[in-house]
Amino acid sequence: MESKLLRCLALVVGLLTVCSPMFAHHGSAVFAANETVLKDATVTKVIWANPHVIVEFDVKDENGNIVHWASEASSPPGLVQVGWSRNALQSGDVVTVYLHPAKSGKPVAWLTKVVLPGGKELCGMPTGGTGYCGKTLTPNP
Amino acid sequence: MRNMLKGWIVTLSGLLFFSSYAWSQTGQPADQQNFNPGANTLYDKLKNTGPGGPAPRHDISGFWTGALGAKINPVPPMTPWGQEQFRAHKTLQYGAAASNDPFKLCDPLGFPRNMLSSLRGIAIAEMQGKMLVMNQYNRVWRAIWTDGRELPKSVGGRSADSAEPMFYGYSVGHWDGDYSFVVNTVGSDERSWLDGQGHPHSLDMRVQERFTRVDHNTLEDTITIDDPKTYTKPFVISTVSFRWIPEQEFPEEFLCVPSEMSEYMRIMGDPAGK
Repeated sequence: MESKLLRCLALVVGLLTVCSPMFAHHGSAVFAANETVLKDATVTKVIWANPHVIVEFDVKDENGNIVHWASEASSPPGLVQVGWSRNALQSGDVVTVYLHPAKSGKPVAWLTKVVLPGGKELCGMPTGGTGYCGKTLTPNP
Repeated sequence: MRNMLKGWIVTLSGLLFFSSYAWSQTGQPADQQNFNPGANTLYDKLKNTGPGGPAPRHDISGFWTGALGAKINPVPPMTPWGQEQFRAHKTLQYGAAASNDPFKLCDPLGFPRNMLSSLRGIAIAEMQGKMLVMNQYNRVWRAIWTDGRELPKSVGGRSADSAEPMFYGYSVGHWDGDYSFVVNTVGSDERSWLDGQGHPHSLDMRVQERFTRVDHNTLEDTITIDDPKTYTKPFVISTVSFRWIPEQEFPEEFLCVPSEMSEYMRIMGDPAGK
């Protein structure tokens, strides 16, 4: 019985260790800590503007229904430093997106990475905490 | 034994949950979070390029890039008035929909917040009788009078000759030695926040900046706040570090555009927060 409890403890610690380093970014409280990957997402619109670049895309859910998502990346000045341009993503591109959906349940999300056909990666949050710009997660002081 | 173990599991789970919650919820607003060593800003790309030569004498001019947000030091205990203002400020940390940060409306950041956040670029130029400090963000400038005049004795008072509060205040400056330029500012409009963490300030706040040309490529701005109406003692809120931009130009325009902000709130901010 004690070993069961110890396994339970290990599981709890493990889960919280994975999920709890909540990325430190403004507004992160409204987005899920864990990341979701959506494949075969078709970009429908890119709004290249402050305060955040918005990438909208359509993707099928598990029932085959098309869901329209809006996701926010960093600002244009932030993104150009990590390889974006205004036209890096265009309507019609089919991509894989890594994102943190809103806890509200609405199809809006924090965009951490886009993978283009051919494998090129675009980091969505260069100064966020998930490390998708080649940096390890560092808790802010 | 079993009950003690169960107890530890519950306690540890609670501690881990709340510690992670606390880490993400408190003291981690926009400015603080953007001070992230190793992040991919222009400042990070330039910060290890070396001194570029000795500091020129009496010269802080040029185009400079900063970390996206300065590292904000812990503030001293606030007065009851200060605490009341602080409680009323809902930062962007809680989501754009729930926040009342003036940033959300593209309101002026004001001073000194504009020297503590959105610091991708500043430019400094010396003119006859004044030094201009210009910010890439929203293309704002401050004129720092160097002709020996005094700061206004009264700001926002009843008398006709009392000066008007201004978001960017009134500043005078002078050289202290060969490499430090000291600026004193009063009269910052109380509507601005002190920083992105929601700390308040009063109209009575006095701010001193010490710009130091460390070497050719490095400029530092140590910002001291003296606001007894809000904080129980003066304090250094930050030492902000800038690097010389080789091209001596800002790479892009960086504005808060009200129509873009409205669209962001409609598409992202409100749906995420509700």
